[in-house]
Amino acid sequence: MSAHAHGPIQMTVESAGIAVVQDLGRPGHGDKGIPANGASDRWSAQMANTLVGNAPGTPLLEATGSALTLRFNADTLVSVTGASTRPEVAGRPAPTWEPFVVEADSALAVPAPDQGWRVYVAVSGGVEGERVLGSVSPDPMLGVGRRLVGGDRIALRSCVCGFSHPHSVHPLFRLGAGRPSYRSTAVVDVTPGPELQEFDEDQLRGPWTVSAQSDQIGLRAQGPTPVRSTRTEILSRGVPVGAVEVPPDGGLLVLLYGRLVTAGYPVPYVASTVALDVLGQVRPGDHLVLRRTEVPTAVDALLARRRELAGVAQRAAAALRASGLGHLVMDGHLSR
Amino acid sequence: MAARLHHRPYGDAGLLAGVLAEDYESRWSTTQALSAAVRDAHPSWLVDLVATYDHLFVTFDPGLCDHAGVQALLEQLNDALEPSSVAALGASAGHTFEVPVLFGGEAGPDLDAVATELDLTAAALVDRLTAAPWRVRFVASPVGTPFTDTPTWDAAVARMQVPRVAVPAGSIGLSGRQSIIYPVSSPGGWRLVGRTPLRVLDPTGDPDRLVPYRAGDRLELVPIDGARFAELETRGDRLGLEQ
Repeated sequence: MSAHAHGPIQMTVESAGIAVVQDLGRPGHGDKGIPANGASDRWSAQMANTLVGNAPGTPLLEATGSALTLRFNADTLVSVTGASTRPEVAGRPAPTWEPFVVEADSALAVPAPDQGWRVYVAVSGGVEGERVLGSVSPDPMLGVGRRLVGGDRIALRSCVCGFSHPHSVHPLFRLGAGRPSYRSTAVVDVTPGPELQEFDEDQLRGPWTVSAQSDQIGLRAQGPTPVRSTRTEILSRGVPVGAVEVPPDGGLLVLLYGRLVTAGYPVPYVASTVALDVLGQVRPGDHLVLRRTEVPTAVDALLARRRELAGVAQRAAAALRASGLGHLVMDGHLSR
Repeated sequence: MAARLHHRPYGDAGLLAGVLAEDYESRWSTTQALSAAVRDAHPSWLVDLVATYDHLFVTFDPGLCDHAGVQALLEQLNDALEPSSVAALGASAGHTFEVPVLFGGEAGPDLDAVATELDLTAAALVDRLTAAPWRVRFVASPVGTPFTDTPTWDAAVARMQVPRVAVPAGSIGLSGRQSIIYPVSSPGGWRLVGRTPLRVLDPTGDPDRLVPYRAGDRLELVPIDGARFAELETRGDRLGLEQ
C-alpha cells in the first residue's frame, strides 16, 4: 500500500440525506438497557464489507431513503449493496453487489433507492468512526454516532493507488453475491412467540401498512386491531429484536435493532433473524405480510446465509490476491 | 427448594424462561441469581441476557447452540442455585443511594394531578414516596433506567394518555406500582413528580459502571428545595459519588 501523493487519503461527502457511519452494533448490553443497534439490514452491510476484503463488521456508510455523493482523493475499492439504486462514477453507471474502483478525484453518486430503503457503501479498509462500547453505530439515547453532512472528510485506511484497471468503473470481479429483491409488499417469516395462543392467526397475517412513524427502533404497522383472548397484564420483560407486538391502541409494532430492551405487550410472533434484513429495507407505506414458519426452518435459512457469505468471502479474497490486491484482505475477513 | 422454569422459544435466537415460585420476592431473586449464574458460566453461544421481575430472556447464537441446549443449561444452573446466592438478593442486601429530588413545579409537573387521583395532598404524596427506599428490580431502557418498586407503595398510577416527546434527564416517573429515574432525556409516558439534579449516567467510562446502581440496590428519595437543586445542578455531581 502506498500513500497518496496529495496528503492523507480520504473521502469527502459532497452531499448526504440521512446517512451515518454504521457497523453491526453493540450487542450484549441488554442488562444496561442498551440495544444492539447497528445496520438495519445486516446481510447487505456484511456483504458490502466482504466484497472489498473487509471483516463483515467493519464500519461502513448506511444511507436511509436518500441520496449520497462521495468524492475520493485516491483510487479506492468500493461496493454498494442494500436497496435498489443506480450508482454512477463520473457520470458512468457503476455496479451494485460487486466491488469496483473509484478513481482518484472522481465522485461516486448513489441516488435515493427506488426499491428498498437503506443503501450500504463499503470502502476497502473501512471508514473511521468513534467507538463506544465497541461500536460506531448511532444510539440517540447514548448520544453517540456520526451523521454525515456535506463537506465532511472521512479518513480512509487503504487505497488501490497505482492499481490500473482498464474499465475501473466496471465490476472488478463477478463474485455472485446474493442480491435480494425488494417489493412493496414484504413477506416476513415469523416464528411463534409466547402469546400466540391468545390470538387468531388469521387476524395477524396482514397485509399491514407500514406507517411513517417507523424508524430503526421499530416499524409501526397499521391495520385492524387483532383480538386478544385474555386481558392478563404482562409484567415488563425482555423483548427480542424482531418481536411482533400487539399494543392495545391497534396495529402492530415490529421491533428492530434499536428497540427498548423490555416491554409489556403481548408477543404472538418473532421475526426470524433472516427476516430482520427484509424489515430493515421496508419503506413507509409498504405492506407487510406475516408468514408463519418454525424455528428449525428459520435457523436453517440463517446458517445457509452464513455459508453463502463465507463463500463470497473466499471468492473475493482469491480474486483480490490474484489481482495483486491481497493486502486489502483484512484480518477478520470471512475467508480467513 | 428451587423455583421451576417455564421455557418458551422467543425467536430463532432467543429463549424466554419464566420463573415460577410462590411469591414475588422469590421469583425476582431467583431470576436475578439465575442470570448471574448464566453470566458466570459464560457459554460460548451467549449473546445477551435480560433479567426482569420473573423472566430471563436469553439471546444466543443459533449456529452454536439450539433452544434445547440453552434450556438444559438453565435447568442445570437453576437446580444448582444455592439458597444463599438467592438469599443474597434478599431484603437486607444491596447498597442504598440517596437521591435528592425537587418535587412538584416544573421539575414534577404531574405531582398535583397524581395526588388528586390518589385522593391525597401533594405534601402527603411526597411523604408516601419518601417513606421507604425504592428497590432497583432491574436496569433497562432507555439506557440505564432503574425499574424500582417498594412494598410500602400500594397505589396504581395511570400512565399519560399521550406520552411526552422529551422528558428531561433526572425526572422521577411513576406508573402502576413502579418508579423510575430517566437517566437521559427521552420520550416517555410515566407521570413526572420530581427531578434530581444529579447526573445518573456516565457513558464514557467502564460499561459496568455506566450507572452506579444495580438490581437489588435501593434509591432513597430525599426532598430538596429549589436553591439546593440549583447548587447541585451547578456542581454537576453524579449520583452515588457524593456520599
